[in-house]
Amino acid sequence: MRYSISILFFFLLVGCGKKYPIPPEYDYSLPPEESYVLVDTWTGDGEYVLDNMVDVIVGTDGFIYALTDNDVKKLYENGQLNKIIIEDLFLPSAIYQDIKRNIFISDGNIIRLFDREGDSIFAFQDTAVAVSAGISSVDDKIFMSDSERDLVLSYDTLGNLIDTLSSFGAGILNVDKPLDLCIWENRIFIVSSEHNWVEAISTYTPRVNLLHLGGESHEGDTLPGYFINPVDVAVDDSGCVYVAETGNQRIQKFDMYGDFIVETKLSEAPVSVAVSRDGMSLYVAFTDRIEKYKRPETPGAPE
Amino acid sequence: MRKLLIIFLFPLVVFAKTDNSKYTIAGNVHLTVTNFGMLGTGFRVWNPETGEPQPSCEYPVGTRTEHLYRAGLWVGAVSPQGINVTTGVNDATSVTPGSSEGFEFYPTRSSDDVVIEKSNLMTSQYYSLDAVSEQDFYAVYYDTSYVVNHTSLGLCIKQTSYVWSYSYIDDVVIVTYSIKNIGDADLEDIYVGIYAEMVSGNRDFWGDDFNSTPFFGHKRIFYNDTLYLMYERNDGFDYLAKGFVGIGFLGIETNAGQIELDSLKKTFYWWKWREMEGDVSDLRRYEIISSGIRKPDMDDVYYYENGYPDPIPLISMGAIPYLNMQDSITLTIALCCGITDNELFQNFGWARKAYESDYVLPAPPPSPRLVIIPDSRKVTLLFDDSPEFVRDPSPPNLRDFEGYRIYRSETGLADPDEWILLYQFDKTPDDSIQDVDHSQGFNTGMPEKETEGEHEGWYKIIDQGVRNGFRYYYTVTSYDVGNPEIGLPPLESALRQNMVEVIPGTPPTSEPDKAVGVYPNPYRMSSMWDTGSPRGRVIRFFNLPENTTIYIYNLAGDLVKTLEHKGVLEEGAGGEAVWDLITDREQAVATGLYIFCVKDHNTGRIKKGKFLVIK
Repeated sequence: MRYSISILFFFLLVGCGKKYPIPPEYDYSLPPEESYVLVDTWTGDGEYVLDNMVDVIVGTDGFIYALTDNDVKKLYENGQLNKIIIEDLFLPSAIYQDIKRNIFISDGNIIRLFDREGDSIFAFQDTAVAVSAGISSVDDKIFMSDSERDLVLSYDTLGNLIDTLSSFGAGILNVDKPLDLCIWENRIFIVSSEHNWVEAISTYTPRVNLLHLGGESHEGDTLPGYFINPVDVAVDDSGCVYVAETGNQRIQKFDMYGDFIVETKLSEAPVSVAVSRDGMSLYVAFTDRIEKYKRPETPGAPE
Repeated sequence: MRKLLIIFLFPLVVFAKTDNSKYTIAGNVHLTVTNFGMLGTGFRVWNPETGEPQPSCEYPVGTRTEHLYRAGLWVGAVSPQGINVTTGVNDATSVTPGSSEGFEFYPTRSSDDVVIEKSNLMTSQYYSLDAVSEQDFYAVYYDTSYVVNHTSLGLCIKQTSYVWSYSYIDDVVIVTYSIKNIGDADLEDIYVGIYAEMVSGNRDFWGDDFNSTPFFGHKRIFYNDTLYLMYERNDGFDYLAKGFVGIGFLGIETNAGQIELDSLKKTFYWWKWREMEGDVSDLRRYEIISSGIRKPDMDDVYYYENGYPDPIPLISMGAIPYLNMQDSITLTIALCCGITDNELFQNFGWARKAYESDYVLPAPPPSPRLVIIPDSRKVTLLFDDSPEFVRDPSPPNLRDFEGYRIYRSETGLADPDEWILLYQFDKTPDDSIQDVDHSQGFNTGMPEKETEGEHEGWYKIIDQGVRNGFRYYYTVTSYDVGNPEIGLPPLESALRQNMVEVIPGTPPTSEPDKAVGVYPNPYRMSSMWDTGSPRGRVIRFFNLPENTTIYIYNLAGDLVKTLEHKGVLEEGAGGEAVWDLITDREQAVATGLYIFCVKDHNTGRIKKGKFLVIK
């Protein structure tokens, strides 16, 4: 009897609580991000012509630097030419601007360093390197990827080899045909094109993998989060990662934890991708042009 | 008339807390300083309390001659967004931010984000340890607000202005602009400039509403290539508008250090009014600010040969190669005035010396500590000798004190004409401190010193012949020997730095044969010291003991007022008390004879008297 009364009280209490319908909880998460929208195509403006594009970056100074097969063009955000800052390159493959605004170019197996005016400061050659495909620098260390020998190497500012960050193998600390490099905070992003992976390895030692993108196998896929022949990687200020693929002809965007956000389909295979610091603009290089994409405005969460 | 053409007020920007209510008063130039990149008022700001026009750039103070319609900062740069110029002011009839294009600097929307005042004078209510001058103004503003036809360079400007009252630099206002790149891209090829519509006109000639007159049609504009100084004077039509005004560059600093101004491209440009108005492209503005063109002076010869173009001048300098994100450059300018062009150049030279010495300026010695003791028909002044041992802040830091000046005033106002010089004392050549030569002046030597009491060793001066019950103000200033070698006159401390207010009267007394009295007696309608306020009519009791109660009766024997007197009277002598002719029931006393009774609590003695009030 005592139990029956207790149960009766329990249901009375619960019943009181359900007198009115409970409103659904508001979804405070942001709506899913939409694909970036093509807003401009730059092939040249009469002052210059973009052909044989090799790489594009958004410099630490905010300008866009377009690396072609023999020069570097410094461009405004609207595609107009500021100036041709570096000329007479031999076999350039990648460009990078460091925090001091110095410009690094991997040119064959030569690393060239220029100041922001385009005046040469320094160059060194590692004759053991077959093809330097990517370059980056932080804390007076220069990182270079050798796509033929499947190595990622680091050098000091005098050109002395310091160590090997990554070498050929199947694991997430290994690479297979490494191409572009990119640094964000304490991680160096490496496009491991034959793995169909992008790895973020620590810039400090011991080397650890801080982020892995591209699935578990080396097969690649057309699904979101997978790659087929990735060629370039870029990171914005918030740590979002942008990967350009030739196989899937798209740019995929991931958050700093590696979660897929959105993909942007391209009309053909890209050569390179760069992103503005705020992540609002993408600059995708093809052999004969740069396409500028803008992120659609996303309504914010209710306050 | 052109500036009467008020444009429709479209909201071009988000609302920000703009402040144009502050102007410099420490020196001889009264310049309005705002927190949106503009100097001056455009003659459209009135003091809400007095209804008087607020000075835009009045010089000399008190003459009602204005010299500046308005001026503002321009910054041009190359950024990834292209080539852009941010303008503090531009050709427009409006002087209110948000009402027309050209106002591209704005403070935040915070109500605290106004012009802040500080002073290095310990006597100022704005005294601050980190103040640089006698009147500093601080303001912060940005070019990141949305404004029509404006592309932000991502700038935060910290503006500071400095003013001194020292005679050699009181015609100068120094303004620094710390320009910080808070955007997300570097800036390149930066040019900084000052747009300034300098125009001299006198309010007594044109009236207070300048904008309804052709006052702007009489400018003559010049540029001194050596000093980097543009300047203006009236063509003589307004015969009351005496003097010159000029704005020039003092220096530019970057994170890497001082930039040699000679190494920069300099521009002196002027255009016809309205040529820069509205949607003129930033590219065109950058072309001007970076042109390196030195336009001809717009003087009488130019006027006769080419007609009057109503010129709007700008000076600029550059290019500063880079301004990286979070880096700053600091531009320092001086706005100077002078009665003649030579005086203007001399004043600008002092501004440059101030800038180069990091504002460690030759300063007068401080005023001494001053104590005033009122007595019947006399006032005793006691002041210490501390100024004599103070070293001048500027090298070689000598003890350059020369003498004291003692002044008296009946109003205490700042106007020097309100003060009478009573005494002046200066050192003799054989003074014990020999840092400087004391042979100049009258060599009177210092006054006598007090030999006893709390202020033993202080100088003592007695000013006799003052009237009891009247309010007086006293001040003692210090002055130094100056420095004739560099054209520096003797500097005197501020007139009211140690000002003391006093009302002479009788000291407290308990002597039985000293009768307590009242003055004025009879009280007829008013007394000369009445202030006009409801409680401003007073009579004074004198020869009071130290600790007493005063009972006041009318002829019917009713007690109308009881006053407690403790021998302490604010600003006055301890033997006097005032009564505002208001009874204990808060009523004004009627005409009639009154009897008072004073009880001395120390002796128990009672004194009596009477007085007459006629209303």
